[in-house]
Amino acid sequence: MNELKSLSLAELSELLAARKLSSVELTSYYLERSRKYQKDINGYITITEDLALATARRADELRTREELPPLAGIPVAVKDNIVARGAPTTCASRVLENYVSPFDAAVVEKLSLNPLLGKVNLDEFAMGADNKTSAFGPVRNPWDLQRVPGGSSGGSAAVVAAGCAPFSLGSDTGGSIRQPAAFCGVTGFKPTYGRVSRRGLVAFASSLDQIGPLARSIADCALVLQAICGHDPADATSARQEVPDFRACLQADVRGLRLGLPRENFACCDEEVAGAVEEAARQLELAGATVHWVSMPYRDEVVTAYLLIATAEAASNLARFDGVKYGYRGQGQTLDELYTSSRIFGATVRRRLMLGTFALSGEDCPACYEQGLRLGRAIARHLDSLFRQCDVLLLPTAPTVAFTLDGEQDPLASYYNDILTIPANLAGLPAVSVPCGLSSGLPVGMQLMAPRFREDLLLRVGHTWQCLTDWHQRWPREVN
Amino acid sequence: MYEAVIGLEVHVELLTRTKLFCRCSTQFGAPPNSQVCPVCLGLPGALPVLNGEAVDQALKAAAALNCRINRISTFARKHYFYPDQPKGYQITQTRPLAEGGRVDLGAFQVNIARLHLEEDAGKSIHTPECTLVDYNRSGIPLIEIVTEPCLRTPAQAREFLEHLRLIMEYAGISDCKMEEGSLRCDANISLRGPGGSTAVVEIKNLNSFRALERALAYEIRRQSRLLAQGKAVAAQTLRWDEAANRTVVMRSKEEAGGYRYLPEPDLPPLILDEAAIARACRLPELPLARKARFIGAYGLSEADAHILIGDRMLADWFEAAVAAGARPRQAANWVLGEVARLRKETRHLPFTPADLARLIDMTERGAVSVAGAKKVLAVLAERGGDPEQIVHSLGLAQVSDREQLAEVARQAVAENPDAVRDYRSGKDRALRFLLGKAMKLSRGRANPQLLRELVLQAIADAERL
Amino acid sequence: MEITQEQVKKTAAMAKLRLSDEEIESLHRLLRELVARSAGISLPEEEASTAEPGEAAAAPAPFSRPQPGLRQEEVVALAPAAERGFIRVPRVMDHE
Repeated sequence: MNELKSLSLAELSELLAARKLSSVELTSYYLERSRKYQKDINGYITITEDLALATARRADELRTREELPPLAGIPVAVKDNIVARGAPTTCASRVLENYVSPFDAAVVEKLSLNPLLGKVNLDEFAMGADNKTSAFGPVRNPWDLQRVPGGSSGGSAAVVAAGCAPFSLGSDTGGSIRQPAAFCGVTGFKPTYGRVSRRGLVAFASSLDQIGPLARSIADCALVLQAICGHDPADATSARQEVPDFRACLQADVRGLRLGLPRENFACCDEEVAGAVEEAARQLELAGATVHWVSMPYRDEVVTAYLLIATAEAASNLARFDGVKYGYRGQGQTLDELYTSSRIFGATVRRRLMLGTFALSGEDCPACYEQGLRLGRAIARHLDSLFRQCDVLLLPTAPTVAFTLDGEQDPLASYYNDILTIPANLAGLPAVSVPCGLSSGLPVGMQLMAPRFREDLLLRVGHTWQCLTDWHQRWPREVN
Repeated sequence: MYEAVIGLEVHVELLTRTKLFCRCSTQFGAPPNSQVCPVCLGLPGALPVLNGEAVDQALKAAAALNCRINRISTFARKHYFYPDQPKGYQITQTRPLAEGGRVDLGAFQVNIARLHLEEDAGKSIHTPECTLVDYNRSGIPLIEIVTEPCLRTPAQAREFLEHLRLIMEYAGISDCKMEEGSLRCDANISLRGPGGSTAVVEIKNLNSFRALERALAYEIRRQSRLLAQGKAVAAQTLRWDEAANRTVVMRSKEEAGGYRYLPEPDLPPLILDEAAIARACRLPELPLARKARFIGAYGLSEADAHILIGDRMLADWFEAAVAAGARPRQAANWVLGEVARLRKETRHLPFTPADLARLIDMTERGAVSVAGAKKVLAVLAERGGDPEQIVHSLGLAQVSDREQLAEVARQAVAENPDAVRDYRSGKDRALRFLLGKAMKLSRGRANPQLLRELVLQAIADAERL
Repeated sequence: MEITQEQVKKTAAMAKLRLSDEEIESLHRLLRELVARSAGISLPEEEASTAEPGEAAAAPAPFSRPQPGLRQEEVVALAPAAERGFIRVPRVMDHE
């Protein structure tokens, strides 16, 4: 039974289809591991054992009568800012501590035959890059429990890294799937904006948010993407592009592909991190790709654009949390008291709401939303020009490996850690982080970016990489 | 000395099957919070989707007001915290659906600055201890129509608003019931004189056409008085207090800092194709055109036509009755008189214009008297039925048979010689007496005109004997 | 543009946030920094045409039949305070 966590989703799927393994067995296995590591890692906010086993039983029963989709019966952990009935959706905030959504998110509907292991931990309202801002305690990196898993999808990454869940769903607004995937040594995929319905994702920055899978390999991600991508008429920003056969894109062949390495994005990283990613590029070159340096000179522009856009949209999206219709309500005789006593967000969220409210107030332009949009468009145009010179951009996911839990960071300075991931959100591009090495025993992530709707290129390069290497199959020492 | 500069901001609730951004029903009068969903309640994770029916209705309104339709218009969030605003913002439009319209009222014209779509908020009920909120209304589609400040008198403002209501009703865009809130109006007013203009004052809480007119008249008086005293008029938002008959300063709902508009990231720009715009411009006949047609084609008086088109149901009734064979003048009289009166008592009338036409025909043939027909109409209004049958069952069938009535006339004359003598000696009252007797003999069923003729004949005959 | 402490407090009031004195101070710094940074960035040339929306938005379809949403009990169950099917809040002083 020790082997199960090392099997790919495709292998698990085959075992289930052949009835050599039941969904109940598989789900029980992961529930036990989730409980076992919960105290150390704190990856979950809610473990939903009864729900999970009920779904597992239903999947097993259905399988006796009909053929099920490939992913059916395989348990999943879902980031706790994606609504699901039957359990609270807290967004890691006291404001929604006991909130139970009366509707399921679109992705939850699509994964209705996947037993829900639980709702995993995150930075409060998905704002953060270290999962330290959760109202329910920080998540710890399975590779080193004194270190952060990254964020905001820290729980999503940690439970996959520790073998507590075969795959998980996270959300990515400025790097929140990719960076924790890098810090935790797993594969994290952010699809093109619009590929996955946002219906049911508690909005942070509506024009940047996307839901995506975290799993142990590109091949696994391909299976999950197949299940969750697709046009949703109930999401007006949902793309109408046809969903290709992602599995068919898993070719282990990069011959003829042009890889572009933005030199500035390497220069700002720790030596070992940059080195590991450059080495990966070299190996891909040996495998037949052409590799050359390109330029991505925007730094302050990236951070400022993100600051203005994301905080403004967040301030708007979180205006609904007023203690009136649902969620936490404080004490108040007057309306104003009701609002201020109910909006008990943590410090990071409060900070961003203040920045965003200011950016929307128009008190000062260029410190305003419109300027943020202009900067974002300029960055997107630049990336378009890079994609005329290459097929896929290759760069580190984060400038460092996972840092320690203690230690404060200057709020504005910390945004510069997201410089490498933010551009993909600003331009709506698909991007993925795959493990590519270890630095002082901690995982290093390599990021691949492609033009809009070209997930196929990412799957191709990523899968080739994972056929050449086995970084993605490593387990943290602490976990077994 | 001072000229009033008045503009109106009108909100019209659109008639659509479902709300602007979700599929909740728009039915009025449901139990509180029974017509809501995650979208219009603002639950976390909910997303708006634009209802094309509301767009079509808004386009019709724009066409009816002769506006220039923008092929591309955009949505935006207007932020303010209020219990009936579930998301903490209202989705409205920045680049509006239409601009630059015009309504011609004959004596004056009104220019429409803009027309755009937006969602309504929920409803708050204030009790002494608390405020209760019902979100059934949240998300209902509205159009906001803003006029240029081109109105000059309270009467003009009222006339325009009444006409606007008529247009919306005729085009099937809204039922425009101010008392139900499907038509709301705020007014802006300033005074312009030789020294310049005063600040613009906004007046809210105008719940009827009358209130609009009176509030504006009040403001003109109030502001003129201030100016005469050499004082300035403050730019404020005022509330019209119907009971006290004056305007009262309102505390502003929103602090300084404004509404922090954000282009709506959840909705792409609305791009209209030619087909949609063409569909919108296929409008039903609008009020003024219909009025002209009533006068021209049916020969109605201006006054009658004006009243008829003021109530679409009556106008439809009138035309249907004419189509069923009634003469226009008669139809108009009956519709404007009896039918209108009955309809005030019972909204829904269980009989048809065709029934009315048959009844009118019966009065013309003399088969029933006018008084009798009114009784028949009352019965029809209560339980419907067949006019001829009702006439018969009520015993109202008017006798117009000459021989029958001649016999009755002869009898009345024979039985009342004193009255006959009085009439012959010049007392006209005696004729009425004789007619009354004759009518009684006929058990009230005689055709009055024919009876009169025959009674006079009988009197003449008796004299010869 | 100089950001004053008053502005910070005004922004907090707009956002309906209760901030500690410490937070007001640190946010004062943060906002000043944001304004300074934003001012210091020169925007690369904007493209001449603001491109038409990428996806030719299909004409929005009319919603046909109403669909049932939440039941009154569900709405009331979510609410922190309710009365006779309404959601209850403290008495609001302002009129519409």
